[in-house]
Amino acid sequence: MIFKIVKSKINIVSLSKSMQLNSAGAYVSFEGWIRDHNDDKKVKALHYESEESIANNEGLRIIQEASSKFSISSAKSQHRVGDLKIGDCAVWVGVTADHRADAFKACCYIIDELKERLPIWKKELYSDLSSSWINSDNSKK
Amino acid sequence: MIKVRVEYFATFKEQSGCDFEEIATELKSVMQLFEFISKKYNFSDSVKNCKVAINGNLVDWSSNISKGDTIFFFPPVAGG
Repeated sequence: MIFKIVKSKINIVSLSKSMQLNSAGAYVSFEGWIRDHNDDKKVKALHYESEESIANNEGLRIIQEASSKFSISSAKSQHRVGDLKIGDCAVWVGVTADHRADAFKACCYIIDELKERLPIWKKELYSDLSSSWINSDNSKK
Repeated sequence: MIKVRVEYFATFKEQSGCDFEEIATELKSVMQLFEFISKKYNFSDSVKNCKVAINGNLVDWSSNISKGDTIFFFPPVAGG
């Protein structure tokens, strides 16, 4: 069970490989990508900021909660901070379990809680050179 | 009068114009300190949408502050 704030590209291939487990019948992953628009605004890039120590502790706590709520074998997650461009992966979650139902539910729980609870903030930079901090209230699931 | 270090993030950093500052205060709780600072810098978010940490741990708004504490005021979060 691992959670980590990272400042460089999330290595999805390596993380996926690290989830392989002979006793697991299901592997569910989630990748949160930087998209090129938000409502009617054209997004050029995103800047993420965090308080790393508390984010790492809270992220691990969320993964441990998922492990106790659902029947899973393992779970890992990484969240990237810094300057990201369109198409970059900002957050990755991976869960293995005996069966797919718990893997799906745990993955969903983890990403929902990460978005609600981690001290992470994102600023959208638009093509018209304006910018805006995005709140969880106005960022859609 | 005690001295504490207050650190700001995201919108609070922009609105205060600094990453952190040392504050000498006679206020007792983090809620009172936040309200004082919020008024000073005209913060855009109220206590009900924000979180606070003392010395690296998330705490309730009723928590008291002590000499030498490092206090983080977190505006509404938006990971993912």
